[in-house]
Amino acid sequence: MAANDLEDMQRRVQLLEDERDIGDVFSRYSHTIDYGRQEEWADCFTEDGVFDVFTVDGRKVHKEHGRGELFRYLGGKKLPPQRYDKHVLAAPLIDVKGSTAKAQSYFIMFSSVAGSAPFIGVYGRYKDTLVKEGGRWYLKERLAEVERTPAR
Amino acid sequence: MTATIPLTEEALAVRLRALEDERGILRTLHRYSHCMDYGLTKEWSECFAPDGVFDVKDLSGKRFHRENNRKELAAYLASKKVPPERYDKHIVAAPLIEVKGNTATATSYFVAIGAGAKALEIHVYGRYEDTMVKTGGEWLIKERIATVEGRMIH
Amino acid sequence: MASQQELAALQGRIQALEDERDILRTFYTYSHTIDYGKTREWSECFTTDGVFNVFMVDGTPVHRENNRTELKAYLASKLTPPEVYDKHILAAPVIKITGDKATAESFFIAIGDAGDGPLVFTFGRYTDTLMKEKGKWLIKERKAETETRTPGFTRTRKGVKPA
Repeated sequence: MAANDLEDMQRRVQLLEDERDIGDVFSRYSHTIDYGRQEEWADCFTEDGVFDVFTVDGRKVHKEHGRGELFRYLGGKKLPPQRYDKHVLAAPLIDVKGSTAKAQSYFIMFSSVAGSAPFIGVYGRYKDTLVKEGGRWYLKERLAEVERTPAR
Repeated sequence: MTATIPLTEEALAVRLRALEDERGILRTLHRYSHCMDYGLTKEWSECFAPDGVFDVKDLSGKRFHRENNRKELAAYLASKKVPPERYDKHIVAAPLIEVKGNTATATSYFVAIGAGAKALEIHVYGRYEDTMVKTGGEWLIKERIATVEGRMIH
Repeated sequence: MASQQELAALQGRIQALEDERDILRTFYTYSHTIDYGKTREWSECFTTDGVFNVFMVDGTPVHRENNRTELKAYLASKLTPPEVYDKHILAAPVIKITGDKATAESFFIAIGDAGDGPLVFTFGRYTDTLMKEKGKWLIKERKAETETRTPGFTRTRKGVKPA
């Protein structure tokens, strides 16, 4: 059973753990952005992490570079109880290579503003680069490609 | 704790394999969404076994369409509007996966989100009942029965 | 040959992955059983004395069940297939496991169709405590904090007094 020797199994377990831990970063990202936990949200990124939001036709929406800018960006957003958002990440395709990883996934944001009925606020795709530092995974770059927002 | 029973590599290998199988199946389900929503016809058809079936019905059993192999699957997706004309998002949720050797079943929810004239909307939602098969280390869809439970009527 | 110590360390890591998978499985089973009106199976996602506490984000209580009997009665009072088809979707689970206990925080989004097409009729946040009993992860308490609802959207059967 050479394929099941200890070293081989340790490597395989490591891969599953890495994917689980990256999934945890994604979940923490959603909770912290949706409840305005600025410091914890910025901490989902590396110190020099980039959050780049643009429309699918290439129009820039906003871009933050570094935890300081990320922290301030979230500080400027409307938060509960004025508005409730739910960033849902779906269909994650994660590729881990050692202590870096690439991930592509969907995002859909459900919203309720000033007590309104729920609606879909935006959807699109995340393209992420992640790195593992000191045993923890961080977003080094999150490209958020906005595909659709409600028509006016 | 089961400290009295000696641990063996074989016993751990079985448990590890079960985790890997489930991960492999989820990966195929997610890849399916990306390939479908971006019109990657060949890659999408290759989420299925060569003789894979995609059978889409409503609650009364009335069939919307059915494809019986990769060729028909590729032709089906080629007939759909895809980016940049149209952006849809097929989401799979609540996957319940049962693996038995090289076959598996998965029951999950699907929700397809898209842009309507006035708002972003849920075009359709329902349930997938999948039979999966492991071929060459990769999990493929042998049969996907999609039951539509709600849909936007325009 | 690997030593028992090395194997024990590996087993611990596999166990942690299995626990997380099994907790997610309980969550997914919860969705499938509530949405298809499987009252007994749904109540069995909870411990015998499991609590389901639903309230609005401002603290207003919506309903609360304190054990499996009450849970079953609650679900039996709701419209389920073939009358209505709803989908409870759980997202962004943050799970923390300590031995046979766990906590989880996640989002819920519920989708349904009131006759004129699908809509999201509510969303909010689940805060759960779970326990492993006889190898199965069960919900000891689920707090469902409802952040928004579509006005007038109800799934309570006719003749049943709304909670």
